[in-house]
Amino acid sequence: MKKIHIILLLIVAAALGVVAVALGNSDSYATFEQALENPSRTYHVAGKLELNDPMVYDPHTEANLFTFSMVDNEGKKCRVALHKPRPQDFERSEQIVVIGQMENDVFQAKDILTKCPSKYNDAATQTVEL
Amino acid sequence: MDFVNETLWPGHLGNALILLALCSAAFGALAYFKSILPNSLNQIWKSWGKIALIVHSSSVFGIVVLLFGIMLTRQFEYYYVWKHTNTALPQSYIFAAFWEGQEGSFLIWAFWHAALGLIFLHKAFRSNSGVIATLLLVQGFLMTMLLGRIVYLPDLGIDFNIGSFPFGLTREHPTLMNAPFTKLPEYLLSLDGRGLNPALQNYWMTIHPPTLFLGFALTTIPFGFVIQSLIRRDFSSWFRNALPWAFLGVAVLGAGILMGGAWAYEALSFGGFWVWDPVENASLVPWLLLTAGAHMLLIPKKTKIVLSFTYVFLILGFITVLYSTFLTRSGILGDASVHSFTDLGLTGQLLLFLFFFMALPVYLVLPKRFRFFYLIAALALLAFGFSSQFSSISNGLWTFFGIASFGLGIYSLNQRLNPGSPNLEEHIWSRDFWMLMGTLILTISAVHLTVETSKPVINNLTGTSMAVGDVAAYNAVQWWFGFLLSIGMGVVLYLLYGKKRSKSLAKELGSVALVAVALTLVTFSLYPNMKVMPDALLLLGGWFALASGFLFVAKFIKKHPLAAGGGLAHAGFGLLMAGIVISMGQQQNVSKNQNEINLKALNEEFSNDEHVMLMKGDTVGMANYRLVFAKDSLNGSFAEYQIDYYSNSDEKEIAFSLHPRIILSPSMGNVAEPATRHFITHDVFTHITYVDLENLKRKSAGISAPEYEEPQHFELKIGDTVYSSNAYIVVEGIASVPGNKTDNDSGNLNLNLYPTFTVRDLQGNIDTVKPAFLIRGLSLQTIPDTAKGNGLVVEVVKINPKTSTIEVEMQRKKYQNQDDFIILKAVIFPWIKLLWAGCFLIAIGSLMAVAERFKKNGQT
Repeated sequence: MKKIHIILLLIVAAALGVVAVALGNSDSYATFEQALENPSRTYHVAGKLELNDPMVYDPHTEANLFTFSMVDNEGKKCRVALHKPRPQDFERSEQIVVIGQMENDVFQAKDILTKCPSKYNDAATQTVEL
Repeated sequence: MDFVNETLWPGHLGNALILLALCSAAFGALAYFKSILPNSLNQIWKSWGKIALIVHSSSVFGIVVLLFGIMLTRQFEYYYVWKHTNTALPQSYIFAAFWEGQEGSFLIWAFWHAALGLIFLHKAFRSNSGVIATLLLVQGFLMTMLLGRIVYLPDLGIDFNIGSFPFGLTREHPTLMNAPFTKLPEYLLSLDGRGLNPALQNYWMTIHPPTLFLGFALTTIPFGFVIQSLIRRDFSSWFRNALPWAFLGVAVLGAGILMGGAWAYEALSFGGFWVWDPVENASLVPWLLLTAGAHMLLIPKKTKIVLSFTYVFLILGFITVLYSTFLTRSGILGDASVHSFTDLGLTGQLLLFLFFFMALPVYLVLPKRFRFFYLIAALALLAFGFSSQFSSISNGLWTFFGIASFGLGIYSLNQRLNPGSPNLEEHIWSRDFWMLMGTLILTISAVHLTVETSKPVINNLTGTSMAVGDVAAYNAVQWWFGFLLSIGMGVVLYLLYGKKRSKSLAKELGSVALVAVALTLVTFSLYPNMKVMPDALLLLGGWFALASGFLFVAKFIKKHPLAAGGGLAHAGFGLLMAGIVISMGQQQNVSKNQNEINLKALNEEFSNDEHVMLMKGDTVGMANYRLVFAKDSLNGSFAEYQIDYYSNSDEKEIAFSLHPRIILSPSMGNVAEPATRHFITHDVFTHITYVDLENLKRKSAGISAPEYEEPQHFELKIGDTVYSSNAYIVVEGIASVPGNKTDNDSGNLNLNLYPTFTVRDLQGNIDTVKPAFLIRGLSLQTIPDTAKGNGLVVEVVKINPKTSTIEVEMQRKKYQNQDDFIILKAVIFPWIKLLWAGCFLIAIGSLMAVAERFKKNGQT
């Protein structure tokens, strides 16, 4: 066996290691129920904003805290504490993904992704005025 | 029905040109492929191919001009024009609008292929029929993406569309054809377009996509050389011809990617220049592989391993472009990316595009007797997959087939490679060996990025639910590659090909290392809080590559100015690494929230103090500056803010003002646009993260703000604590006082209840409020009470004896100008100029190397 073959084997091992790291350390999409079961794990929870519950953002007290309620894709509602300012146009977001973990029945989110319906393709909802 | 003012000929012409471009591409590819194969009609096929190429390129140019034409003249009867432009859009953004949609961006990609095809008619390149054939073949696939034909055979359960036609009519578009206006003959007279997303209305959107697509198109050329070599069974003579093209691709694609980073930094609110977004990664991976392949081409005497890697890298460089096209355009990334395209329902077609070019090199490299079986197996699997709607069995078989094809291809390639090619071993201190190692590191980096970015695909295939990693997860792995590559590319410049070793090697590397260590120590003393791993190590690597590159350039610049290109590019990479470590790692959050209320108690991991509130007119001290929120105004479709920065040393004079703004778009959402002040030593970046836009709109309309905040409703028990409007409220109890007797004549219950609350606000004021709840027989009277410090008005609206709860409404009187605030994030990026200088050097260095190689090839 030549040196180069040994090195190639090492490289393949390194590549496999990198793949294992990428797949093994991955956060998962989950529901609030699963997040409740594993309070110390970080999850991505997708769902919709619950408009009937109060959205509290009081920057005069704390600019980096925004609380609201969200219903996940299984229909479970949960209070979310986002440790960031309130996203602009938040009430219009159609889909939300919060990233964080459950703590005392409140989902503590360090980040959020929102999708505004109108940013995307919604030709059908456009009204053309004549 | 006749529609007034519609101009339909561009649509018909566009349709004809797309069909012509498709047919000429198919015929041209066939003719050029035929011309390579040994037969007596070679020359005739070649001239036919040439005609087809010219017809094809002209058609593509025609389509582009036509689409530009109807966009410039705002012919809203065409859906693409309607969707991406409107009357208000300045003409300078027509380019941006052109490639905002999938159809336009396919077109700009096809445009570059067509232009490159014509360049290959030049006498210096025209012997490469296989390259032209490959270009035309790719063009054939791209043209099908613009066809817009619906295949609907309900009996067979077939219902899909081929491509998306850029000249489709607005009133015939599936999402609009039922809208009432499409039935009015005069609809066009009052129809305006939807317009271009304001976030994309900037010059970056004008220059970044075409550069990136030229880079993509340039990966096709080395791939074409590979295909040509496999057909011609020529495994050596093509390297020198492919070399400058490969490096041109490296330069242009690299520039395109970095422009995306610059855009993200300047105009978007990413708060950095690279966030490892799946779409960013999708264009970085082809660059890594193309760079690896281009460097393999440099090695003059290729061993078998180097030879096979050359093929693999150049093939994968192109395949990953197709894969990234699939990722970003099929909608599979979904929530994982901020800037993927709208799903046009072309997933199946994009997969075919990808699979065809994955299978093509394998097919060509196989011995003739196996080709037929391979083709049958591939077609059978494809048919099975599509007919079973991508069932898990077919997905498994496809994955297996893909891996098997890869192995089979490599094996057959090794069998084919000229046995006469040197089968020697790379010398450890040879340039060959270090280049090989460098390309392998590039590959591992690409593997990591691909796996991470492909998680949505893996989820689809295996039913897992993995989320794409965050920036920290990427950085934790990728910095290793940055470090190893920097060291490697520093060393490799002083090594020689083959067995010879430069006598001055130890001396040269020694002085490079000395400079690198010195620079690192200086930087470290400036930023003593820098982490050793990864920051200081990566910095050391960066300075090493920089020093090595510059010393190399100094050595060659007189003798051989163009040969210095490689050294310059390597120096640029080093500078880029150093720039990243310093500007990103040492970024200083100016807007550290100095609020005394500590909600961090929740969880240390979630503590966040990046964003700070600024009241209008207030001065807030932050790092070296004092910030004043001076002005806000509504200006057309922009909400503009002025932040004055005073330096701490100078009391009165404004150091500078920044004008971050919010682009207002009722239909597409509001987008914040940061403002940055550039200094040589640092940038001050300011970004508005939240603002009460309604308040600004009210103010500009002259309407005064509401006196009270929105009321909040609670149902509480004695002992409960709630948080509302800046205060914690505890229900202490209910004091009951019998009512006045004179009111009790009717014999009904007459009771005065005084629920008692303690209001403790976050400024430390404590007050007791006692709203009254008076029962007068059948009628009720409530008297709200106000907390003194906090201004909270508490009213008890209902008492439920059954559940022993009380229902309370709380509302706080706003204090003056309460809504006149902005939430701001301000960051200092030190020495970010180094990062841009690094990018610039990489581009210039690569282009110099390209020029040198073209010149060399021309001479002989």
